[in-house]
Amino acid sequence: MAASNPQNYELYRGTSIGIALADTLDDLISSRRIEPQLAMKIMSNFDAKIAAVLGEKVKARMSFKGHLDTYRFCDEVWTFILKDVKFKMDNAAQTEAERVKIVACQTKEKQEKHDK
Amino acid sequence: MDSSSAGAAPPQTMDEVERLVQRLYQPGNPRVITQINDQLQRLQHSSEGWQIADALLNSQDANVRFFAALTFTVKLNNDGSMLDAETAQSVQSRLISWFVRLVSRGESALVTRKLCSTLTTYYLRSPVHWKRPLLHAALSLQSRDAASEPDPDASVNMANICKSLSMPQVVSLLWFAGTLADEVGRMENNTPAHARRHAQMEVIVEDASSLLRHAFSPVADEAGARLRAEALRCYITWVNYGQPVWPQKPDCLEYLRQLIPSAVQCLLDPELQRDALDSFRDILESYTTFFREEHMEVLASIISEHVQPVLLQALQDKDPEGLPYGQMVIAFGDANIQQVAEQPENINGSSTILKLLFDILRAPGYPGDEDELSIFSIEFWNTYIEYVNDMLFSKDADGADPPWFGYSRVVLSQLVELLWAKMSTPPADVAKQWTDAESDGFKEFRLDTTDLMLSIYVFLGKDMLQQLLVLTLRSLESRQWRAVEAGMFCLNKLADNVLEDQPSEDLLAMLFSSSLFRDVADFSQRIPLQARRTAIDLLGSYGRYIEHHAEYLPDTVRFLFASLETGPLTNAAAKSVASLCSTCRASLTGELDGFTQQYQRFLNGPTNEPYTKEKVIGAIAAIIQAIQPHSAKVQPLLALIQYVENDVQAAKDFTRAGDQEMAELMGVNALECLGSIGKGMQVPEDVPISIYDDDEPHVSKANFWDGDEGRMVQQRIIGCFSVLQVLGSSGEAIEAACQVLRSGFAETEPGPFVLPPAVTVSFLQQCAVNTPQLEAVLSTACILITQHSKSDSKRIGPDATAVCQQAASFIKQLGTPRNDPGVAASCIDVLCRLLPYYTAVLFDESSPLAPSLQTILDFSTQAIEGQDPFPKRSALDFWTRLIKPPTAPVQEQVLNRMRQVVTAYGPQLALALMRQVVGLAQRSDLDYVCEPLKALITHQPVTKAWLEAALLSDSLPPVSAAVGEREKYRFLQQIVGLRGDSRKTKEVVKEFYAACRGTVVSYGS
Repeated sequence: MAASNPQNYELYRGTSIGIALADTLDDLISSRRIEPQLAMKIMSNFDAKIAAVLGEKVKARMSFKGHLDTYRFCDEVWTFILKDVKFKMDNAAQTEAERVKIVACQTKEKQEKHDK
Repeated sequence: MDSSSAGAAPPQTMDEVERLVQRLYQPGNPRVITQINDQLQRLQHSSEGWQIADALLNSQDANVRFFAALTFTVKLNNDGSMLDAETAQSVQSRLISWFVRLVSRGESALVTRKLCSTLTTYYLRSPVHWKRPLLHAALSLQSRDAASEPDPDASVNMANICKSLSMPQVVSLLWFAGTLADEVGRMENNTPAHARRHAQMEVIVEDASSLLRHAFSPVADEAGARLRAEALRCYITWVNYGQPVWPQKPDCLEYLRQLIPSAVQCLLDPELQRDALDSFRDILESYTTFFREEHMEVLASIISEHVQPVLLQALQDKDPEGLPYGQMVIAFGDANIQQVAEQPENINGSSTILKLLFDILRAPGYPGDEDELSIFSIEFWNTYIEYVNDMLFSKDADGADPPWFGYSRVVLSQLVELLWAKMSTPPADVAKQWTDAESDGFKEFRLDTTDLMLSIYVFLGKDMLQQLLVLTLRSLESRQWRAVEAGMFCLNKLADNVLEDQPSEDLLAMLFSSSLFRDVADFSQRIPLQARRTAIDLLGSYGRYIEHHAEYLPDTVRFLFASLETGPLTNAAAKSVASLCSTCRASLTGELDGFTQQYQRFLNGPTNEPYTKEKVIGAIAAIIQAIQPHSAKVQPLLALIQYVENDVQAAKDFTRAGDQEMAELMGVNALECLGSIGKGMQVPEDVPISIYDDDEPHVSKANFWDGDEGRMVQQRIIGCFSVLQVLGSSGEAIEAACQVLRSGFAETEPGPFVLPPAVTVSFLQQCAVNTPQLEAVLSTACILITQHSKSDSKRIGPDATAVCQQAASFIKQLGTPRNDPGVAASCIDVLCRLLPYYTAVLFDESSPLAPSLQTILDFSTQAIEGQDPFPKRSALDFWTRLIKPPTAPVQEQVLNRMRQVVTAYGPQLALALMRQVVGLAQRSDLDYVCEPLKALITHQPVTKAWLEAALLSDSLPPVSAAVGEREKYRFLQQIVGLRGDSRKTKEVVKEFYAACRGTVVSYGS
């Protein structure tokens, strides 16, 4: 990656796959099988790849509807808190959630376009 | 044994080294090749590596010369930074000298490029600062030997030098310049040395731009074209380098910007056009601001004059060669969206672009099949509508529209029609020849397009609905069913938005009062299956409209029931029946008898399948739920239950006949249908409340299902569980039974499926520890206890005790959580649910659970110590609840017993928690571990002593040498001092955990 290339968002580290990766890297560092620097590098590769793979490979869709309780836009990050949300999946299956938080960030590509 | 399989003896002379390298590149025994590779790697890393590399570059064999350049790179990477200035200067001189000699000898591209990479490695690794590598290399090429490095102040002109060089020399310089930009670009800017290399690029770019200007200069022969092709590649690499590194360095970027007019000429050269289109599209997509207004004007004019004719011809011929031309137009439009949207009078910059984008959609071919461009163009239109909607919402609500909005309405309206036309499904004979990828591509296009239409609807609103309705109905008149289907598909996806707008009601009448649904319901007409299927989906989606227009309802549902009996439509029909009956339940009560008869006919038909049965029986149940009074629900409900009982009986008969597979199929479906009836019978959330009914005493409603008739219905429901006697080993059956029980839990009023808690308890009691899906049963019991733990709900002490006894029995049988982590976690979850309202069940000395209490508590501490995350987290939650003061009134003796338990288990618990914190836990467990730790610190004054003893205990696992007694005490002071502060406690625990394990505190940047 180039010198001042923007970093990727770390949003997906909190997903189950990101958490599992962190646990695995801890084990590898503790058992001296890799250096912490390599673990950091792996994690930043994860940030880049998970975003790309989710964008390219995931074809499933859903729509949802709910009451917008709170929203804010701070440091280029949108946050929406929705209540009583109904999700409609591709296969018409529906599910509900009392509270949903959506964190949305500008894609890096677009951000660059706007910044420069 | 032949020579190729002979082992690799260490070489003693240069000739032997050369032969060894040659053998490395020849096919042979993989084991021997590996040995040779190892030998050569040792040589590369040896102190003689420099001399070996230098000698091998003189070889006659290109492979050996390549290996020599590689050896220089390896040496530079490993030892380059440790060279003294004199040696570094000497290495530089040798490399430049070889570069000049090899280029003049007409060296192959492979070796020359490798040597360029070696020169770049020298630039990056050498302790001697190489200030003008390109100029130095050019001077050397000019003087035909390694020249001395140019003085920084000397006025040597790169452009003049280039004029004196031959074409291969310029090409090799372009390779060097490209490699330099590429490899320096990949280097992080995180050390002073690296920063210095990046800073030097600000000087080198001047030489690179002179070189590029020379290479781009027009020479109308084959050599000139090759030079420009190489120059274009090198140029793009420099632009890619400059984008992230020089956002604040306009002077540096200016060197590259000044080359745009020259580089753009490549777009006009037929030989270079494709590469140039890809390169410029790449910059337009990812680095729009690199181009200034004047550059965009040049690009617009090139698109208009040169790209347009080629693209139009390719679209007409369905020629895939048109792809890069179309992508260029799309990228240009995307990058200039404001101009495209707001300046319709700009011919090249707006109207030509929009015209071409319409032409892309107008072109023949199906997206996903031979039409790839339409798919790509959706991205542009998304940007377009996003821009228009942004403008729409950023203006004052009562302010005037921007003048260009009218034009946008025309553009978007035209777009809707083109998209609708493009969405038409292919005839069956075409679709049959499609591969899965083509078929998926077409489906994805339709979905992407409907997403786009949702955005366009925000702007066009009712006009767009009217347009789609007119297009659909006009196609209906001419019996163009594929066009009708495309229109219905769009309307279907817009349903949620359309139904929110009250004025749309009138427009929708155009559709629902047309002959459309009569036609599709007439199975004697030849209509494509897809059209009927989409019509069915449409009815499901517009349930809320049909609900308000009861005149359409019976025909609609009758059509759907009739479709149930048509094989390929069955599933779609069942889905829409379920959706429509649930939405319009109150309007359909008069049709119940007819629907029940149609259901009976459907059951006897060939399309009767588990999925459809479950959906349709649930739909009929929803209509029954709307019948008033409760007593009138009994007979139709019993009729549905009778269907389930028939299947239950059939399952038992199959078992008796030895056909367990069929028994399971019938039995599971019977329970799933029963669950679906239960779901259909749930009172909808948005049921209207009659203010007059409030005068009616609630008791009378509540009593109905407790009365004889109500009980009888419930007994029949419970009786269906008898199928488990023959399907006890089926996890699916157990799960389906749980769904039946849960369907009543969510209800706030009594109902047929609101069964007495004893039914759930008895179901749990019939389970053994090895019952499949026992977790689902325990989870159902958890929900039962939770439902009866609300402030206004009825307490079920004896039932909770019975549930807990059963969970305790499972715990005893498991012995340790490891034996079945899933069941262990579920059992502990049951215990968690007892707090605070059923605390006495566990802690009252007179409780039947009292003798098992120690086993339960030991089991939960074992779960904390175990490796399985779920029991661990459940146990941590259990102890947190136990340590914290109860949130509901608890009898004094029970409270005392809880305190005694915490005091007795405190040291053991503190040790278990500290063992987790110093390394046994995974990082992902730490937040859960912190909870009981915070609770202990906040509510138990002796916690500090317990934690101190735990931290100094021999039972702790080995920790990193960096953590000694001092660090442990510091951690103790910190953690206790924080007094249960949630965020800081987690931070401190995470830091101590990382120190103990020798890992990083955080992976964050």
